[in-house]
Amino acid sequence: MFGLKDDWSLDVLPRYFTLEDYEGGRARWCPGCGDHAVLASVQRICRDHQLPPEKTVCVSGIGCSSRFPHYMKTYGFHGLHGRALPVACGVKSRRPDLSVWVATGDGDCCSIGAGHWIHATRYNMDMVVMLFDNSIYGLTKMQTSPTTARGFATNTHPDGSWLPPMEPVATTLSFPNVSFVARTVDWNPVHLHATLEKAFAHRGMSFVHVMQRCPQYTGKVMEPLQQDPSKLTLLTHDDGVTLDSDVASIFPNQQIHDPGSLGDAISLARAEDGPIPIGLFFQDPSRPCYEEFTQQGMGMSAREKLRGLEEAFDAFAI
Amino acid sequence: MNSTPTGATPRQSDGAAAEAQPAGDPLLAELWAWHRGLPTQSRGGGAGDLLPALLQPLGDPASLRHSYPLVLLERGGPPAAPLADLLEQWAGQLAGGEDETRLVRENLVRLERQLRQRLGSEDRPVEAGPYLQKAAADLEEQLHLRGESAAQLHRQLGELLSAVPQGARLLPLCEQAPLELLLHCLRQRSAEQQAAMRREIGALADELRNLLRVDDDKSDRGRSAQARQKSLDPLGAARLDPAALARVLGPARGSAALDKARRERIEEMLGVLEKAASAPPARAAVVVQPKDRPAPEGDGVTCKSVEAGQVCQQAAEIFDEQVGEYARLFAAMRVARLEIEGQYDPPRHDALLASFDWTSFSGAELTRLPAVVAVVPGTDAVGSGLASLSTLLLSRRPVQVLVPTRPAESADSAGQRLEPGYFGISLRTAMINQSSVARPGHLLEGFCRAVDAAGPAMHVVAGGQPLGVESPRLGAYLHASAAVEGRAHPLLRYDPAAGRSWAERLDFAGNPAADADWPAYPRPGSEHRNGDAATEPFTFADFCLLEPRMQHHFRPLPAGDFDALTPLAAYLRLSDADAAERLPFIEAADAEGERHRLLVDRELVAACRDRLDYWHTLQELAGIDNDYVRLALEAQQAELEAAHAAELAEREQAWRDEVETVRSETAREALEKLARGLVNADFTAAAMPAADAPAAPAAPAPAEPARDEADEPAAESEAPAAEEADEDDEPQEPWIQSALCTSCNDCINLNPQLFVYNASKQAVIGDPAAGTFAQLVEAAEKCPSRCIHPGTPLNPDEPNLDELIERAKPFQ
Repeated sequence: MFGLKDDWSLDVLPRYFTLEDYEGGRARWCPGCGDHAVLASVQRICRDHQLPPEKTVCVSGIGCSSRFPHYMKTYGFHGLHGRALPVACGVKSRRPDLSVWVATGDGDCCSIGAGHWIHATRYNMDMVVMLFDNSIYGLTKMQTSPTTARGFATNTHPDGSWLPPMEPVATTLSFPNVSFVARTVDWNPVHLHATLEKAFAHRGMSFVHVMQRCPQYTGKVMEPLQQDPSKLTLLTHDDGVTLDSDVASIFPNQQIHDPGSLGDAISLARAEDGPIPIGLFFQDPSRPCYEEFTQQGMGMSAREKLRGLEEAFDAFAI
Repeated sequence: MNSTPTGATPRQSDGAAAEAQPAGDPLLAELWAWHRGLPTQSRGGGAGDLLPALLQPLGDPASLRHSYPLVLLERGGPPAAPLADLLEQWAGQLAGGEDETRLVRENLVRLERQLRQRLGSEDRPVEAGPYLQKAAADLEEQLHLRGESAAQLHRQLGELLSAVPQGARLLPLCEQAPLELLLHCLRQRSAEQQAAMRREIGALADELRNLLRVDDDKSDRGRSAQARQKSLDPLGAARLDPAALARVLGPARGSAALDKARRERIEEMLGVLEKAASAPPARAAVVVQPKDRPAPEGDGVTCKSVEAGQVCQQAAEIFDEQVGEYARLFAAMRVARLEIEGQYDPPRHDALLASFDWTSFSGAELTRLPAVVAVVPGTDAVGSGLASLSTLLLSRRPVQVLVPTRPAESADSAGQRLEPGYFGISLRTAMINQSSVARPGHLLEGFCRAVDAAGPAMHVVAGGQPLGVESPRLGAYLHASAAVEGRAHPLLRYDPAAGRSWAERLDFAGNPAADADWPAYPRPGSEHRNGDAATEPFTFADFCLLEPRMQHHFRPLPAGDFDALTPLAAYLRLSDADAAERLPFIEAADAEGERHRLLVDRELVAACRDRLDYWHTLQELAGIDNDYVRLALEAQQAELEAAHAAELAEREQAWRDEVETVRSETAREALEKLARGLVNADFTAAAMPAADAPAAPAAPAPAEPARDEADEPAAESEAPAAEEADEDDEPQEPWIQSALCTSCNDCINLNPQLFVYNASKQAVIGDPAAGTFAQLVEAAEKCPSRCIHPGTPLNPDEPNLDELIERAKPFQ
């Protein structure tokens, strides 16, 4: 176009960010914890896209994974239990220019924060929401969480969890205005990274369910899945999460799934038997984002706002 | 062929337009009147700071990444290449994988930006090495990296810059860029030609000297005792008597000395060749240009500044002056070749030699002459200098005529423009290279072809300055590019030596959307989330919006819908009658990106039609939308269809006949069989087969020959076994499947020298000697991804090796 190069702009940031620019100190999660992999992948995405640290915000609630903002040398907000999503929506509503990453756990999001989960999905604000799902309350030493498998013994249910677990992907797909839902596993860093990349590229709320190991409490739960890839099904599609053929060949079960179909995505997520699907379930980039509404009038000066208010009040003057 | 009406002057559609003028809406009536150039209440022309909508996002010249600076390269390979491309190429040659070189690769754009800032307002080629070194230092200071990243960047930048070829120069985008690029091509060509010519002159001179030496030996002087004495070495001279030798060695039978005239001719030619061989290197080019232009600098080029109207005449004179010397040299070389081969025929060749001038030169000889470059500004080329330019090009003197032009220079304020390139084609003697500084690849290719050609060449090169503006809002590059896109300055190359047909001579490559009326690009801000975007065309009127003196052809339209409005590109496709009922507009944008519609007056519409007419002519000459071809194709297609239909009908008939034959024969055979069956039939019950009778057993499959496989596997298995035994003796290095590493720190905590992170924060083996086999095994056992493979012990004296090897087995 006009004889210009494809990457025509010299208008680049004067700074260049290396991986160290996003590393906020050595993570203190347990050895073997899946949080490490997610942290490393997010740091790489920030570096690859040269996100200015001061224009990046990590928001979390309470739990092991919610220590995430401490290990990112960006802005961070370590919030209250279950309140990661409303804080993130607040950030995005007035600072849509910021890149927002939300770290929330299965307890934080699916239990005490479940109400916010529904509405944050409906708001569909441009952010990446990573649900670190280790199926247990780990920070408080092994209580049953909403995703704990039935029969799994915990401190609160020594004879085994009594209720069937919540399925986060199927649940999110049922919320209104949902625009991006994917699932990955922490022990395959390539798939994890590709999924988070895809989520970051999506405009709207990208919900990524990360099935992860807690070596301390639920190591045995995920171990069969880790040891035997046939217990997973890799979702494939040109519009989905794409992997190198070498990595994809690890998975004996593969299924072509068009992420444009919400109905197929829900059916897939609700299937109770068989291997667990991982990949992109659903994506619709045309869904409205609430920050398009909330940022209205942001360029107005205080004087202009006052004048607008005066005019509005004058309409009712007697 | 497009059916756009052409040649419509503003006055031709007055009647229809007047009928279409609305009576009710005063604003619309005012717009109609303004469009037609009639008196209006407010003139209202001018577009202010508006830019064509497609160009508005590119409006900051400092942020625009384009092909400049070019790197002018010395011998070998192409004469020049964009710096950005070379940086990418050099970065690709750095040691290390993609991950290791990421730091420098991802900062090439910043390096380019630093260099552009360093070059500032340079308007000459400069040495590449020092500028790049400074830009690299600036980059390091700007990034202010710390620790290993800083050291890595410094190291890799040094390695990158060591790839810069010796003598490379940077050519910034400047007014002199086309001339400097042409001179660079001429210097490069001259250096190669002179080296080849000196080699050839040396060889010819040697051969001529040999002829003379042999002739000397045949003469009385050559057979004298003194000459024999000289031919002997000291030992021979001591033992032989030269005088006796001279008496014994008489002239060879059948050999005759050169006649006097031939010997004199050879000596004369040898003198010319020896003089040429000892002469200093010839200059590469002489530039003849108007006095008001800055003289080019650099080795091998001289410049003569003359009055503007004298350039072509002076160039011809300079050519004639310098060609005399070369005529003597080339004649000497030709005579030398004939003499060496014994083919010189005085009655025939003496006359040719006497009249030998540049018109007798071969193509190869013409390309060996120092170039004469005539710089004829665009306004002169189609103005007062037209006659002398024609004379020069028609004379067939191999002069390079450079016509630097501004895209709108030869156009009047209504946009009508004379075409120096098209005019040059009409002469049919010169190579015409119409190009632009915004297409350096096209420009360079044209220069290279011209300097290798034996005839005159005219290069019509559009620069990037609008008239009356020294620093255009868009920057020179984009302005020049807009001229190409808006069909104001189409790219073309015409080479009369390329063949006999237009298809061979005319090269239309490089034009954007060459098969369309106007190029179209995604409309800024219209990108849908699914990646699709609406497109809009870039017309000649869009280009004119960039020219300050064309501003009066535009009038901003008030907000609101007007049924009469039609985008200009669509308007130009309407018939005269339909166009008379519509008002054309283009879209522009202000500095904030807000869109505005601009009404276009009828005068500029006529200029757009004229441009389109010219464009269609070029398309047709280049074989695009060619009516002759279309008609020929239609005729051919009709002929083929008729032949096909006839063949089809014939086959159908043959098929019907065959079906009929088969049907009648089959019926006859069936009747015959039925008749025979009835005659011979046994209708008793015993003869009728039961319906459920078992089928006859199938014949057993033939047994396959037995294969003697006993020996083959054994033979195959021996070699691998031996190899495996060898491999077992070799210690296996530890390794990590880094792609599977989850960055959990377990191995790093165990031994941070043995295990380190790569640029993607995934573990790799650092120094295998920095740890023990026990640590490798422990790390492999701890690793949650099981991606660590300990290999075999490097230290055979490490304690408990047997146990460790056993533990390491699951991870091999």
